[in-house]
Amino acid sequence: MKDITPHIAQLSAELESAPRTATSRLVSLIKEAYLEKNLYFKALVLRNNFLQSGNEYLPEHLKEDYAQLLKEISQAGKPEILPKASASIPIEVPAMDVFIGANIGKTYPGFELKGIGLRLKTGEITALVGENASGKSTLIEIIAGALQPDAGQTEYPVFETKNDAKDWRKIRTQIAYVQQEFISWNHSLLETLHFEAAVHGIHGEENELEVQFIIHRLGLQEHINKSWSQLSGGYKLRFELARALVWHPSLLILDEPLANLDVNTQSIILEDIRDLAKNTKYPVAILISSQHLTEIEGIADRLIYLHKGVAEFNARIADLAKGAKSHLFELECRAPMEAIAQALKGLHLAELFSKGGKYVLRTGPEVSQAMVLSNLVDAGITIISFRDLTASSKKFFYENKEEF
Amino acid sequence: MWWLYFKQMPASDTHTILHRVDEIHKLIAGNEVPRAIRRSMDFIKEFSNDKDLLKQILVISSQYHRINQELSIGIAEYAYADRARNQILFGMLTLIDQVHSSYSPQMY
Repeated sequence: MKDITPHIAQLSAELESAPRTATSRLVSLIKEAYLEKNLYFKALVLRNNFLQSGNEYLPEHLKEDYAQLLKEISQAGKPEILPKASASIPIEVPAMDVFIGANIGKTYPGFELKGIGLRLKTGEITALVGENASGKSTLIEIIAGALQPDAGQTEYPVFETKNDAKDWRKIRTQIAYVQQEFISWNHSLLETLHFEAAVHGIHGEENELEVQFIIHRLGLQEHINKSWSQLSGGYKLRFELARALVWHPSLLILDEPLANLDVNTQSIILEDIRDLAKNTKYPVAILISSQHLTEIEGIADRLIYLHKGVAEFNARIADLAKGAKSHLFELECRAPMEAIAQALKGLHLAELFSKGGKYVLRTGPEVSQAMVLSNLVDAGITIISFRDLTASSKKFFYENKEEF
Repeated sequence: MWWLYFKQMPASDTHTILHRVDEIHKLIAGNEVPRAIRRSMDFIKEFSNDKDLLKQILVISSQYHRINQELSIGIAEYAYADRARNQILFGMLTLIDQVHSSYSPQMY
């Protein structure tokens, strides 16, 4: 147990010169010293107030609160009793197979989706990426039960009764599917959410509580009395998510949810999607298609890259760099290609080309991003952006991908 | 003290209820209050069967939303809003602690 007393004078002195550090250290020290919970809460709120004030220096009233808290700390009694052992028991997100597909195929004139195998589990997010007309929508519709495959097997272990023929009506009602194009809600937003919960068997007080919960959870309070046409694209998506999630589905399919959203809205929605998938009480298997590769890779556990109807990558995100025989970097700068080639001459570039206003460099596996950056900086090249694509699905979108 | 268990936890990705509590504390300390409220809602729903606690966090969410609205349209004074915000933060911390203290894995 750490004794906080010797630190009090220092904390007091630090307040004038470095309040940001002082308030942060105060929180840590109280935690390490196992002082009363109430003192810890006060320190957390004080730290919050300091950041909320937006000042570089602590305002007078917060200085007084800080001094008062230090006084209380110096007078604090013995630490509280230890918590019960259940506090350290690991929490696991239940992993149930919600969808199992093997060798799925669908043929249209001029296009064939073939040999797709995938397993969607609760608590896992699977990203589906690929160029336009690669088969993403076809695969999504098959999984959502809106389209019958021509080949392969599909199973929904959570929704199907063993030994019975598939009851597609029942299966479809258990899948939450948010399509890219929204259909207008004809009734009020609130009524629609209550109705959606009710048709999934949530009635009475439970219905009211679930609807209020999802409204607050997705930050929809301010917009609940609006009509569908008054909502922005971002809020239409959030209401669609609310309608999909209010009844706790086990499988959620999102078709291009990030299209047309601003950066802030994207990050909040992605955070929410990740939180919902990993919910320990109502875990969801999420399949999400998107062209926003960086953003989607940030939350996904698995990734499927479709190219002309074939899954060229279908594994865990962590495996994207596995077996890479070369490194691929994406560089954005104003310098001409010759200057880049000259700057990186010593690194023996395997390839350098320009695409979409950016340069793409391929090197041997022994060349790190630090080496590339260092050479570019030494050559006086101003870098606008730089990214190692070796562990990103974006590498598939560049030409010559067969070699990676 | 309940956070003693942080020292005893293995360095792995395994989450415990303490990780979740700590996540909310960090969000509050980092002035990320809207997300702290959202994660508190998740926490209470996941680790408590008590509907009253769920209703309390919904009230907290409403209060926070109302204060921000009043500030944005200029009908609330900053001193009042600061006090109200602090009450909300303490309310949230107490609720989380209540759920944490009464949590038992056998409940599920």
